[in-house]
Formats: sequence, C-alpha cells, structure tokens
Amino acid sequence: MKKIVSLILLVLLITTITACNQNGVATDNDQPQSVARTDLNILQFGDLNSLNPVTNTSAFEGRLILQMFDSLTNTSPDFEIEPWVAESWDISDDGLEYTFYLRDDIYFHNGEKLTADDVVFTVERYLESPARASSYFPMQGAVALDDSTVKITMNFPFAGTLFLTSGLYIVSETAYTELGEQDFNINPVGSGAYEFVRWDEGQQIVMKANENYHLGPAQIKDLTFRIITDPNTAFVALETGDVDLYTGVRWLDFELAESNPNLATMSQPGVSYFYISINCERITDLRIRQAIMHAVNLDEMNIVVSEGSGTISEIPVLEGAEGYTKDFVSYEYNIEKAKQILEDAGYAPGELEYTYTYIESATNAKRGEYLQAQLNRIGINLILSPMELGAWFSSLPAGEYDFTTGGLTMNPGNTEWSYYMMFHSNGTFNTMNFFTEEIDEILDAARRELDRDARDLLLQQITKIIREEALYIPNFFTTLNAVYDKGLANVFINPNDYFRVHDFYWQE
Amino acid sequence: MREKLLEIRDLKVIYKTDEETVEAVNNIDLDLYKGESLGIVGETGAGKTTTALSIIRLLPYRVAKILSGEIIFNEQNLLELSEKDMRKIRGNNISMIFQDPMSSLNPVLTVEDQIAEVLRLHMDYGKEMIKKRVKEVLQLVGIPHDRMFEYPHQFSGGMKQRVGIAIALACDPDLLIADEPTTALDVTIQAQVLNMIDELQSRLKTSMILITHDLGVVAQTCDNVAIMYAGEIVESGTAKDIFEGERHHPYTEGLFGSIPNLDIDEKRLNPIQGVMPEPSMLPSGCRFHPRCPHCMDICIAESPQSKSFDGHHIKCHLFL
Amino acid sequence: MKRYIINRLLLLIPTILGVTFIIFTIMSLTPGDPGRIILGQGAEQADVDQFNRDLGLDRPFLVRYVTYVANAVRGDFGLSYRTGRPVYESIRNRFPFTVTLAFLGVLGSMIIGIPLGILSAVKQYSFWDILGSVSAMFLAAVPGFWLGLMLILFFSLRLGWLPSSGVGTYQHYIMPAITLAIPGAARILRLTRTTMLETIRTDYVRTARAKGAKERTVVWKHALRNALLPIVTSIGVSFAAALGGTVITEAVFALPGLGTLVITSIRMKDTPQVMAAVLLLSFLFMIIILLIDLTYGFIDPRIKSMYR
Repeated sequence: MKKIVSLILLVLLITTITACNQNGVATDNDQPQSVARTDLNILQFGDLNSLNPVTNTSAFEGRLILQMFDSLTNTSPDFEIEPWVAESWDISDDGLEYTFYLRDDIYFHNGEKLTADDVVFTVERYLESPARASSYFPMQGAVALDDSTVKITMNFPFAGTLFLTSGLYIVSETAYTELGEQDFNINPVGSGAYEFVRWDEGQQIVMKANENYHLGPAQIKDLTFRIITDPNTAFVALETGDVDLYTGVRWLDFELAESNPNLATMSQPGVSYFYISINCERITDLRIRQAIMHAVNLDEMNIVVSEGSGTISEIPVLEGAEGYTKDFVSYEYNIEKAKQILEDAGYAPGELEYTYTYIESATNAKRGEYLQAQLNRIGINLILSPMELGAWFSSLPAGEYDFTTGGLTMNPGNTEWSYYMMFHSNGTFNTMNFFTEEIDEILDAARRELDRDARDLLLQQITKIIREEALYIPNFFTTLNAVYDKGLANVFINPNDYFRVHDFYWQE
Repeated sequence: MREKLLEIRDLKVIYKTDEETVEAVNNIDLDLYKGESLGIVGETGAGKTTTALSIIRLLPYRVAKILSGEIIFNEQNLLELSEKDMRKIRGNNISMIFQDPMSSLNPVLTVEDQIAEVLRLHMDYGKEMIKKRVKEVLQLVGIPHDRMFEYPHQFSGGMKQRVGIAIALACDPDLLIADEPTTALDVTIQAQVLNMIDELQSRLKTSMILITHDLGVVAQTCDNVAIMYAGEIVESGTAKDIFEGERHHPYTEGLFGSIPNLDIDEKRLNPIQGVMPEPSMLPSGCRFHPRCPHCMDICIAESPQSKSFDGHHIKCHLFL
Repeated sequence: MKRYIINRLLLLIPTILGVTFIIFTIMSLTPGDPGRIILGQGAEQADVDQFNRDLGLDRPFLVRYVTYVANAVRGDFGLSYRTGRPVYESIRNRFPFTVTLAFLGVLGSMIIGIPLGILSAVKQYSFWDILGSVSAMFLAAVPGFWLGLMLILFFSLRLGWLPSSGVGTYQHYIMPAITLAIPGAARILRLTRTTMLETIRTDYVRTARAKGAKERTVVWKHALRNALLPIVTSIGVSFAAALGGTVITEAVFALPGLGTLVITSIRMKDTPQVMAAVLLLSFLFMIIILLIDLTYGFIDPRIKSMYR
C-alpha cells in the first residue's frame, strides 16, 4: 500500500519536474526560419465587448481599434501631437474653433474615400455616446467646410483638445449607417492598417493587412488577437509559439522569459497609478494623515503587493510628464515619528479605528493586509472590507469608507484630465473628498490654459498640495512587461499598451 | 438397491475474518441416495446453509475455507474440481432453491430471461426449444406461461418462489438443494409451496436436500433426517428413526419439546434452556452440554463419538 | 409513461419561472449598476444614469420582471447590456464548445471510472483495488487548473504533440476533456466500486452463480445493471454540472465556453445575458434529470411500473 502511494507520487513528481524544467528551453517545433513569416498572433487577455470606437468601453479594446482605424490627430510616443488623418490644423485665437485639413488619400476598407462628412459623423456619434461623453464634453460639434476641411467647435477653450482628436477614430458613415450601431460593434469598418475579418467570440479576432493603407501596406499580413484569460496558459502559448506577442506579462513569467533565448523582453513603467485614498471628510485631522504616511514603507508594500515589480512613485506623475516636480513634501518611513505625531496630537493607541474598502482581489487583499499591519504598529486599528466590483462602485458616492482602493490611468501628456477627475470637487473619481477653492481654481485654470508650460506649472502646484495635505497613500505605477518572439523586429509598445502592428516585421 | 448420489465425509468449514475464526461446520458426514430426500434440521447458525453452499461451492470465497473433507457427488469429489468444471455442475446437476424469493430473483430481468439463462448455459437448445422448455417448467410450478415476460416485482412471494423452483428444475438436476424454501413466505402459502416441492421431487425422482428449522416440514417431506447443532450432526437416520425411534439425542428431544402438542393440554411450550453458543466461542467437550438436562462430567471433558443403531446415528455420551 | 413525461414537462414551467425570479431578484438586489460598471469610473453620473435609463433600469423591480417574462415567452430574451447584441448570439456561439467539452469529459470519466470501479469491486482488497482506490483519492484531490497546466506543459510544451489552447481541431479537445474527466472518473470509480460491492453480495447474484453462470456474466449482466442506478444519476448530474461549470477548464485551455460567459456577465451585471444563459442551463438540467429518471425505467422495471 505504502509502496504504491510512493510510486504514484514519484511518477507525478517526475512528470512535474520534467514539465517544469522546460522553462525557457527551446522547443524543436519552431517554424522553419528560411522564409520570413507574414502572420502575427497577439495575446488578448479577455474577450471584448465592442470593436466600435464609438461604443467600446474597456481599455484593452483600444489597441485593436488602433489597428483598424485612423484618428484625426495622433499622440507621438513622446506626447507630441502630430498629424494623421488631418495634415494640418488652425486654432482660432479664442481657442474655440479648430479647423482640420484632411489628407485626400485615405480610403475606408469598403473602398470609399474618407471625407469631412465622415469626420463630422464620427464627432456626432462620439458626442451622443455615453461611453465617450465624459471625455468629449468640451467639444460642441463639427461641421464640414468642404470635402476635406472640418471645423470642430469647443464649448470652452480646452487645453486637451488635440488629445481628444487623437482618440477620435474616424468611422465610415456609409458602413455605420448601413449596419447600424449594433452590427458595427462587431463588424467595424475603418481606414486603418488592418481590415477586420472575423471575430470568433471568446477565441480570436482576425484581421488582414489593408493593401491600400495610406502609409503603405503592412508587412505583417495576417493579424490575429488570440483570447486567453489564464495567465499560465497565456505564457505557455508564448513559449510554444502559439502567440508571438504578449503584453502585461506577470513578473514571475517575465523573469522566465528573460532566460528564454527565443524571446525578447521589454519592461517599462506603465500608465496605471495605484494608491490608497484617504477619505478626508472622515479623517479630517491632517496630523493623522501625516502619521499614516510615515507608517508605510513603499518598498515593502511594492514587494508585498506585486513582488517588487511596480515603479514606486509618491506622486501620480513620472518624470517627464505634465505636472511633475521634485519639489514636494516627502514622508520618510519612520514608525517612531508616526507614533510621536499621533501622541502629540493627543490620540491614544487603539483609539482610532478605520475601515478599508476595496474590490475583492488577491493584490488588493495583500495591500489591505500590509496596511493593516503597519497601522497596527502605530496604534490604529484597520478593518478590511472587500467588496464586489458593483458594490464598491456604489460605496464611492456615499463616501462610506475611511480608506479605499484607487487606481487611474495617467496620460503623461495630459495629466490635467486625470488630476481633474481625482482632485476637483466636480471630479468623477474624487475619492479623497478634499475640497478647497484653491484646488478647484487651479484645475479650472489648467483646463483652459492652452500654453503647455503654463499648464505644467499649474499642475505642479496640485502635485505639491496633494502631498502636503497627505490625501492618499502612494503605491506605484504598474510595470508594463512585454514579451515577444525574437524574430519580430521594430516592435515599439507605448506605456499605455498601445502599439502599431503596421510597423512590425519578421526578420529573415 | 439404493444408489449413493452424494457422500459428505469429514467436512470442516471455517469462516475466518480479521477479528475471529468461526468453526461453522465441524467434521460432518452425510449420505444421500438417488431419488431420496434428506432433511437437515437445526436452529439458525447451526451450519445448515454452510453445508449446502459447500456442496455447490458457493461459500463466500474470501472468508470461508474448507479445511478438510470430501464431497463425493456421482463419484466425483466436488472439492477437487476446477471452477470451470464446477460451473457445469451448478444449475445443471445440482441446483438450489434459496430462502428468500424476494431477493433471490434479479429484479431487472424477466422471468423468462432468468429461466432461459440456465437452459442456455447447460442445454444445447435452440431458441424455440428454450422457449418451449421455459413454458414447460412454468407449467410445472403452476404459473401460467403468459406471465413469463413479467418481472419479479409483478409476482407475489409464493409465486416468486415458484419461479425460483422453476429455475432450479429447468435442467432436470440430479440433486436439488432447498434452503429453507418456505421460511420467508406467508404461512398459508408455505404449505402450498412445500406440497409442490414434495410432489415434484417424487414425480421427477430428483434427490433433494431440504434445509429447515421446522420438524413438521421434514416429517411431511423427507425420507431421511439429519439434526445439526453448532456445526455438528448430532443425530441422523430415517424419518421413522427420528420421529418414532426410542433413542434420541437430548437436543432432538428438546426440539420436539418445543413443538406445541395439541393432544395434551399444556399451558406453555417447553423450549430448550439457554441459547446456542456463539460459533466463535464453542464450549469444550460436547457442544450441547451447557444446555443439556442430562449433562455428565464426561460431556464437559470429551466430545462424544457418533454411535450407529442400525443406521440411526446419535452423537451423545448417553449412548456410548 | 406518456402521461408521466407530459406531467414532468409541464412541471418545467413553474420551475423555470421560479428560477428566473430568483436570478432576476439576485441580479437586482446585488449592489452596483451596469451603467457604472460598463462606462467605468471616469464617467459622469449623468451619463451613467442615462445609460441605465436606456436599459429601463429606472422602472420598479416587478415591472421589469414581468416585462422580461412577457418578452421571454414571446422568444425575445433581450439585448446584452455589455455588447448591445441579442443575448442568444453569445450563447449560440459558445454553446457547442461547452456541450462538446461536457460530453467528452463525462464520456471520458465513464470510460475510465466504470471499468476500474468494477475491477476494484470484483477484486476487492487486491492490488488493483488498492491501486484504484488510491488513484481515485488522489485524482479527486487534484485541482483542475493544476492538472490542466501540467498536461499543457508536458504534451504541448515539452512534447509538442497537442495544441496548448484554443479550439479548431479535435486535438484541441483532448487535454480539456481529460482535465474534466479525471475528477469525474475518480468519483464514478468510487461510486461504481461501492454499489458493485453491494450488488455483488445480493441473493440474486448468488442465484446467478448457482445457475452456473460465468463470473463475467454474473458481473456484467446481473450485478452491473442493478448497480447502475446511482451511477447513471451521478453521470447525469456530472454532465449537467459540466454544462454550467467548466469555468476553470475553459480558462486554462482558452475555450470559449458558456461558463466564462456567465461569469463575465455576472461581473458586468449583464442581467439579460445571465438570465438567458441560466435559463438555458436550468432547462437543460431539468431535461437531463428527466432523462435520468426515464433511464431508470429502462434499467429497472420496478421503477418503470411506477411511471403512471
């Protein structure tokens, strides 16, 4: 009996070890190298809701839409606005009217030419779409001046207008009208480098190169986004060559990939900033908030929460981004100091008790447990309250929390948009509830300030205030890890996980 | 001339489990002649069924062990046969009627199927012939043959036992072992079924071993009788010897004493004192001595030999 | 018999109504609204409210429920909140994979579990029995995702024999089916062993032996058929469960099945999608249970005689 058990265990152990030993060793069943491939399989982490730029709501749909559609303008990797569908533009002196001059060599996948009417149609769709309204509300409307000239009118002078037009993906009016919104969602017709072929629900989205693309046809002809939701399976698919490009690789897998000679890796700070909001309407005493700042070791938290993979930052902007400054109050990790502050303020150990609400997930739980342990050391009790996504959303407007999870996409060239959301009293994601006229005034001014340097200075002021007032416990920027086949060349991936397959090619 | 059909010599069977070893049958001898019937009588646990199952070798194979003895059937020692050869005898030359007709028939097969199975196994019959024979045996046991496509649950207890008898008789066996065939039936049905067995046995000239705890049943049916107690045969002989003989084993006397006698106006029965010993803790000497009204010193010390009085065997110190 | 089936089918109506009511209530009572979840944290409350109003979520619960049922009776199960497409599309796209996988998985667990269970019972306490019981214990305890991953690592990555994930060829189903079959096989093995041990000791099996039947006939004809009832139940329930709950297997092998759809839809508070999927699954579940009951009748005539 014992013998049998140990035999079985042994067999399983061997299987496991041999299977695991595989890490990074080349498999022999690679594709023949003689002819350069023209296909590319990209890992897609989860199924999509819509491929229509008007209605899509999740961030990871954006990178598929980018392949199939052209935007009016484009944001370059270093956050400069550059021409795209619009060759050039004029801005009226009051900053309310933008006139765009369109290229005349752009054709939709259905063969029709992209005209000013299509742009106007797209703007109208964007403005009436609930998914877009929260970003595009500064825009009032658009009119076609002629076939290749469009005038977009703003509601007020808005600093980020050209960022908005960089997200304005032009849809074919004819196709959109013929299909109707519902069918366009799953049969998108754009003018981009890739043409939509097929969407097998839960499996894959297939595209093929647009041979009439205005920047010349792509070298990768057959493009497939393969849907895999399990990270382990996803990484195996990368190792077996079933997928060629995988962005958002977990840290452990990324280390494995680095030792695999067939794979190329790329790691950079992403655009998602994580923090823990302090509800300042409940924790009104600045001294408590300051004490909490001193009680948290950001390095430790990074290790506990994300195996040290995050890029630690006390402020929600990285160097080079709008609103970045070195001149802010930094709280060093010092438990004794934290205790002293509380003692001086007259709080006895155990007197303070708070609740931390968060969306139930493994990383959020680790974050909570770490915070709980640290606050406990300075005599503050913390109750953890994990919630379903829906319940958590409902808890926010009611302000029924002392601490809550925060995470926001920061666009380095357009910090104003995120700051407004986080810190303005009208902000839709203001979970710190710290309302002052000063902050509102600065942000209102930044919103209307067209001069980049002036706007940068305004936003730096906000960066200083939010640290001074200790509104949140900083965490880190997530790191965007990308792994791809070594044979793939000219791969460039933006920190926000956007890339243009049009530029990629296979080396001989 | 009487011809011996079955001869059991010195059979010893034990049941061995992890906890205990039980001597179920202890060195018994039995003879059965062609065309005759033998009744084996005894209380529950006396070893009657074990003896029967030893003959067709269907003892629970993992726990039961035949330690010694031989079972000669038609001049073959059954205990030496291969399982394959034994299968040819089961249901064909030796068949068995079981105690509980409710559970002895397969609930998911039709009566026809269950009777036909034994024919298919042993007879070289074609389909038509099998069907004909099934009808025949059903008629034999008094079941209208239009019920042959029904399932056991559609029959009453007595009818089920008739089906059991039909299965047992289908291949015209030389030996029929009936293990308490009527115990589980209603009293009113018991007599019917028993009469039928008796009648069929004499008509078909089949030899029979009838196992029962009911002396009345034996008196009605059997030519010879063996009385078993605690794995031993304490007395055996012709029905006449047992029911009318002068000498008896005290246990046999006790059995008779526990039958109500309508001629004498008795207030109560005279059951045997005490209970049968646990088979795993048998007493020394004569196994009946703790309950025996005539118990002597020697009974406690020594197991008695069997003594024959002209074919009437008694195993008791009183007669030695 | 016919009347019995009709009665059972009629019973489906109140049961399914009950199921819809429960699911609808749960979906309505749990906090969060689709507008906020779909439009995200950055959306203005006014837009979220408009989105929810467009979905008719501002009407009272009972009105929404009655409308839903009235539409569903006419065959209109609504549009998915998430994709804005008719809910049957996703179900139609995914159902074939789920059914194939569930069928193969259950078939696999039968093919492995029943013979080994019989072997274990017939050769009780032998080497085979111990091997069977120990491996059953072990296999039942193996988590599906681990088993799936090990299979992938071994057969896809190391040997390169089978595709690691996705669908397309029959080969894609081999590993998922095994992953799904193994715990089921362990369960069926143990169940078969237990029930076989019981039936093998019954009087009618002894009767069969007394007829001179071969051991193989005794086991397959007499014992197994009587032991089948609980096994059939278990298989039917496993199949029904596999239809609704292969989420982990689906994720590990990147199969576009119903389980993933239901989970995603619940998270997104996509009530019409959840309702349609659950309706289909509960309908199938009850049909399967009915089929199990009818199978009982074929296996055991005693039960058949009760279907009046």
